[in-house]
Amino acid sequence: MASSPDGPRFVDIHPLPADDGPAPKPRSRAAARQVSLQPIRPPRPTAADFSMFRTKSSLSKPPTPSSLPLRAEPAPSPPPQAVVVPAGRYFAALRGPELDHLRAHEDILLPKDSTWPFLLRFPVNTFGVCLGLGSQAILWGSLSSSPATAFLHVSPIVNFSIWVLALASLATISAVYALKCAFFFEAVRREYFHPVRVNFFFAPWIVCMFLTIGAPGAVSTAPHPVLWCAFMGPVLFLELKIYGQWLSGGKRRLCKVANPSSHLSVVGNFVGAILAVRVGWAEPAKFLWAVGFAHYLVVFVTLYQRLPTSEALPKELHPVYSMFIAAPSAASIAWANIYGSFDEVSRTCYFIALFLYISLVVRINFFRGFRFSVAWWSYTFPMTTASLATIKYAEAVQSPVTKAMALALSLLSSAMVFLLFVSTLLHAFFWRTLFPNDLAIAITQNKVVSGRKKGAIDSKNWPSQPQDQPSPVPLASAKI
Amino acid sequence: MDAGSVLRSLNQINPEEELLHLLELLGSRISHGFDLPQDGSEMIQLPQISPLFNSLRDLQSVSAHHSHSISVSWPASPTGLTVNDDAERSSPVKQDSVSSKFQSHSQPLPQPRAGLREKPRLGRDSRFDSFKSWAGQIDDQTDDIQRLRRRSLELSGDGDERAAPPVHRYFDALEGPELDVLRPTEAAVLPEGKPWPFLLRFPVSSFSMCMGMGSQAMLWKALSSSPSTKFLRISPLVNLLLWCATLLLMITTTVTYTFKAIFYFEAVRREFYHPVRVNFFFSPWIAILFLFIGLPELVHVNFHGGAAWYPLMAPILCLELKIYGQWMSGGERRLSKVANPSNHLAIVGNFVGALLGASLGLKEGPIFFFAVGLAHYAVLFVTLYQRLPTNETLPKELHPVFFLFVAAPSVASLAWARIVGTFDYASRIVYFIALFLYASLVVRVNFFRGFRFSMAWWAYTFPTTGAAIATVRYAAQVKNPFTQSLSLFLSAVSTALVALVLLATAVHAVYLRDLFPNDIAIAITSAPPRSGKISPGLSLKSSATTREKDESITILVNGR
Repeated sequence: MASSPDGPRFVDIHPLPADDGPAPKPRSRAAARQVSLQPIRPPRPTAADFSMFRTKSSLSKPPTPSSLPLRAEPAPSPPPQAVVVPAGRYFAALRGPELDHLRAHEDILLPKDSTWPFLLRFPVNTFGVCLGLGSQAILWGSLSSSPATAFLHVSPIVNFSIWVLALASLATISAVYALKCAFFFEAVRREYFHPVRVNFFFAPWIVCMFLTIGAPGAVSTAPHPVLWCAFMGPVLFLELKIYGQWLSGGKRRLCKVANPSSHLSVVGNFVGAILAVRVGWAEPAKFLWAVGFAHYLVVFVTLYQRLPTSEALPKELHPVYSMFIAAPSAASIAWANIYGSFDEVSRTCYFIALFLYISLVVRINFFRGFRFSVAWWSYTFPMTTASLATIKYAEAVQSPVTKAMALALSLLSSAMVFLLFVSTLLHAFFWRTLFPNDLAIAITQNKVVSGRKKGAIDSKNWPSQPQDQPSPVPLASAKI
Repeated sequence: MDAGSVLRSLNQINPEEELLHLLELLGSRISHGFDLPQDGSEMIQLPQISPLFNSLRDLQSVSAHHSHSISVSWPASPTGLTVNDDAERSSPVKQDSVSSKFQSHSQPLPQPRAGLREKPRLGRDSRFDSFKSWAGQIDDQTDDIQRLRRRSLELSGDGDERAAPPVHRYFDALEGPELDVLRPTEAAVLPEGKPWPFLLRFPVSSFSMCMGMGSQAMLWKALSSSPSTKFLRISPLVNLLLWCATLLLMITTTVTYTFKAIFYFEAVRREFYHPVRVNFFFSPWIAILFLFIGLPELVHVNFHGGAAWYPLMAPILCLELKIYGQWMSGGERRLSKVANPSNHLAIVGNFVGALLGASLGLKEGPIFFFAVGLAHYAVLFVTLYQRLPTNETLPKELHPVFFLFVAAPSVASLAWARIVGTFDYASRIVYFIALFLYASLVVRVNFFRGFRFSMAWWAYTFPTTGAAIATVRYAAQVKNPFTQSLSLFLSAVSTALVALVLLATAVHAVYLRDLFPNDIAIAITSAPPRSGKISPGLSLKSSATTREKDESITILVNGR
């Protein structure tokens, strides 16, 4: 097999960073910080290590003299990573609700005990930050403009500042991710084939639509249909691809890959429908609502069943379950926008979301003890969407109860976003653990033959992993 | 020096100092045969034990540390030795009950085995103690070891946990569409030969009788008041009569079941953990909703603008949060495992509640429950239709339980019609789904024969009644001879069914006297029996004994 020459090559290379690199087991937080503060890569071996994830153009270049001595013996003729990693491998090699933890017996292609280049550690989940902020911008916009919450006298400046913040974060993250595409295209491709990560490829486009919907009055009055086409086009294209995979079977059929994150690929339809109404196109909005609803039904039933075949489903509850709330509440808003009133259908969708919300809240103590990751941001936007739907509902049914509900849910979602914001900042600048090594993209293509150098690998695997997360971090962030 | 003399000498020596030595000695003397009183040679007799108990009580400080080693040599589970001041010992226990108490004490889950092995003694039947709420407290105040053990179980806190079988045990040990028949390889913890106390045999599915009768009251109310069936000129007295009968039945059942919950709480708990029975916990609340919906016009009740509706729905909502959460959040009770037609009972409460709320003039609350019901009905319907291979409770053949398929859509159509005020397209779509399912069951009617009657069958009559009521409502909207005759026909069918089931109930209750057979479903063991040992009691004993012996060995090692 093409990958078999790889194994020895990386085993040969591994000792190098360990020799002149940082101390392998920094126990304290200060030591961990020291590791990440140091210039991370010893120049030569890194260039060889990460080359497989580089874009083809850089691979096809004639080897530079500096990397020649290393690359001399293995003679890597065709890059074996160009072959698609099959979906089953992701399930076999990874675990965790986001499929981002390596199983104990697995090896990866990249060195585990040194920090990778920043771009390789930058996952597509990071767009979740924009999702959270963008939905908050919409929420505060409607808090300041909705008649149901007029008594709060929320200033539109809040909306504006959050919107600018969301825009800035979107611009930054898009730029960085574009760089990743340019330099490490293989990594992006592997994220795309990852059964959970692929859903996050919808996120940038959803964020764009969020920002268009939540644009403050000072910026624009009515969006132009071109914007809808620009943002909805990629979503539709991705949907054709993803839904087709679900339907047409194969390794990525829905009963295998179903995961709460799959809601992300459904909710885009409803957001697109809302935007279509805003730009004045009612018929595409209905089309999108229908498509979204049909697939939402399928995803909902499949997830509820917890089929034994769906391997990506976390065994316990996890923040990712808040995704259940997103689609029905977005659907209710979309329906109300399309047909002009918050009628029985809207209410049915809204109440489904509300019940799911309650049924998650009463199990709140199951949600503790998970490690913070940047993907958590995407789990805040369902709560924000539910608050938005509640505001809509409070407009339709004016009573103190509905107003109180709208207020409480909005505060809850804002508090959650704020908490995440703080913990993200802490992780980013204080602990410097916001972007740990992204093991999910570096799994081997074939199963490691059991027994082969197992002890060596395992001893290298896990001691280095926990040091990425100093112990106070998960506990502190998990209290949310 | 045998164990008895050791104990006798305890009265003379200073317990604080000598206890450790004594316990080690006891352990060495007794442990190898302590669990088999048939040997007799090294048995400790209780009158000799009670002095030790007294000294133990003085030893609060020591017992915490040494409780484990005590538990080896002593006839109690480890926690049994956490002796308490408030557990008074008034008198020594009679000699002949000693051996049974002694034995039961040495086991982690002692009560069932004691019941299996022993004959009832001295008039008090202790075999059902494990299901009693306060085993022996009322009728045997002086049974001090009993009290001690109970107390220690409460203190340890996990005695109850061990008593409840995990969910997979229900699937392993039981069979049948209602999971109420013991597999041949299994043994029950209660004696199977003779009837148990009535309360233990009274299942929660008895409430379905109230549902069946209550839905009939609703049907006859609709027949007497609907414009489409005006030509029948049915007197509202029929409704009143049925309603009063339902009310009476409801009160009786509720009182009886309350007694069961008070006296045999463990049995109720086991019913709640039973994957099929748990759905029947919705039925009392649904029956109450039926009573409100079928309220005769002659009975005047002021609803205060529907305020009474909220407390009625609160228990249903709480149960739903629990049950649906179990489906979704995984674990042993995920839907792909426990899905069963009787899950419809957990769904249909939403629609019945929405129907009642909308009839009382509410709007938002009914839509809430309608939405919740619709979402979960879609999930359940798809799951049941798929007949997943992991679904362990789905009956292989058709069974009356499949009539529950008709219930949810027919009540949903009624509820939606009441919410929006007219039997519109959405209502009709849902109604026709129900009608099709009904038809597809009726054409397979000869598959439904040959099953044993049970009280749960009452639950399967109310879907037909629901379909009949929906048809009456539909005929009121689309009034023509066909719909009118259809509503008439379906009403006749449902009433005939109820009459048949009533007849069967009466025959079983009065003539055959087996209306409430032993409820094996609640009496399964927590651990699977050892292979090869099929005879009841033996299996449990062997497993527990082995565990105890292992424990004793380790502790002996530690003690030395």
